[in-house]
Amino acid sequence: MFLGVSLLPLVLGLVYSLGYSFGLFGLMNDGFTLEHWQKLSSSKDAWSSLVYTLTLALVSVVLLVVLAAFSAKMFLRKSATKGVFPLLIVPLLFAPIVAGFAWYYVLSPAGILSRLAHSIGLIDGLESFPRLVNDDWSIGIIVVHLFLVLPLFTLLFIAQAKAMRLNEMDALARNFGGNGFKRFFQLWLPALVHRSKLLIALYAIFFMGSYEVPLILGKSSPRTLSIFITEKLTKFQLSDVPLGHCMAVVYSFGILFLLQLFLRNVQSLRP
Amino acid sequence: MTRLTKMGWYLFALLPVITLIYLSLVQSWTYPTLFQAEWSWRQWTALFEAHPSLSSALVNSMILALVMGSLGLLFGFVIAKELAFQRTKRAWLQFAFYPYLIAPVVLGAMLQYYFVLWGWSASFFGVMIAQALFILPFSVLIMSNFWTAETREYLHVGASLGGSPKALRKTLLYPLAKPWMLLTFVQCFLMSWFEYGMTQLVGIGKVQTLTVLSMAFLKEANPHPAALAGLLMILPLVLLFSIVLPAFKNKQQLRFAQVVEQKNEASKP
Repeated sequence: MFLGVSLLPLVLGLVYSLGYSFGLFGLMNDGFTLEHWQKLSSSKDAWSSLVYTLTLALVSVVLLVVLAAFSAKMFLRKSATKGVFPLLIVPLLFAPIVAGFAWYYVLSPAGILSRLAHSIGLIDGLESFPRLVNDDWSIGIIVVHLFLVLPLFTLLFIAQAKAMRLNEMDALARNFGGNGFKRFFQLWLPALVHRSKLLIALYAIFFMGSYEVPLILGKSSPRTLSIFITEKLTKFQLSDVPLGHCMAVVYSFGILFLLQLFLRNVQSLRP
Repeated sequence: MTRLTKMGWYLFALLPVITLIYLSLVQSWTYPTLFQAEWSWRQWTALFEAHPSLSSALVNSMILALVMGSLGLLFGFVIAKELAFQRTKRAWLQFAFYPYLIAPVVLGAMLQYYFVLWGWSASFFGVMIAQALFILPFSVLIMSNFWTAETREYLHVGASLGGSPKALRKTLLYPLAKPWMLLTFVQCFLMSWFEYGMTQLVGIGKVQTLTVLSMAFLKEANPHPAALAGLLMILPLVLLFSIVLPAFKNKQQLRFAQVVEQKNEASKP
């Protein structure tokens, strides 16, 4: 039962996608061919999508970890964190799609921030507001990624820092003359990262599968893998369908590979 | 905490909420009006007349999420228990990670052929099956966190002291498992409630949930009903969380956070 629910869909999906990508199934296909794979490997669009997805996930995760560690350190200082703590719950109420479009209307050139800037005279029109959504640097996407996950990681890091007594170690390090910068990068960050590296890896994988957020806040090219695959498979451009299946296979095996690396570190799952 | 970081957090967490509320309350929204915009309750009062699809989407989403939450709870509880007591089977748990890690929309796209083949596409039932594909394995992942060596020992002790299976369930298993069962339900509920990609792919716009509808409004560049749909997705959760959070709170302040830390699917982007 359990295996049926969790493995069968994967096997069915992979078999179909593999078959399609090698030309065995599908309307336009007539027999085994490597053509689609050659097409994929020479497609600039596909490569840029792959590189873009990996970079986006990496940048999101690095920012996430650094900011969460910093916030945890801030929250653990005794002075006046009251009132801020409940704020950490707020993003948990947001579906990625809702967070995506709420931030879209905050950051877009005709959005709230731009209007605020206009009303206090900082800018004189739409054009002078910096481009923060559908932009070259994916600023909007990263902001929403952080919005969705940063509070969670901050809560987690607070709990872990308490368990590891990082505050006391921090005081010790200060007595030995470490400055704030050094204490953060040589004590807080390494300790917290080491303790939750598995969860960080999980979220890196999630960021790689990010769909709704880049759909709303991203550019049409380069796009994330999930958008690439979905577009190729569902946009009724029949000649593109095999490419989508090839990419789905690449993505799935990528996940499986990362999962193997990941599971190696999870003691409790070993038989 | 410095005042600046505090301000930063306030802005970061509350800006989207304020934006949604604002957008649901103003009407014509030409640049650069901000405060002088035309305020009106009309969106809210005409909620169900102006956008009849919204109410049905709310009902659809709610039914789907409740069914998925309950199914997840049931499946997770039974299967995790099964896996916990058989050493060889515990390794099977790793298979639950794949559907949990892959983007649902990609899984949906790969399986779309079968959904069309078996006639499940564009139906409520099909969307339920599709969501179950990644929600059920995940429910097992959460529930197996409950089955630590300690929990198993408790049950063994209870049994060797002569507790009948019924008494064991009533006095040991259910009370111990309660927070985890609650968490499993909430997480599965949220996964379904937040799901867009797979629902859209399998439902092909025929099965309208709040996420599907708000994306549709968004594509029409119609921010006001989209904001309304967004708020309709948030408000029930406020209610849900206000019921659930205290249940975790009495142990210690961060209990909930630690529980969520295990695996939080809900904020998977």
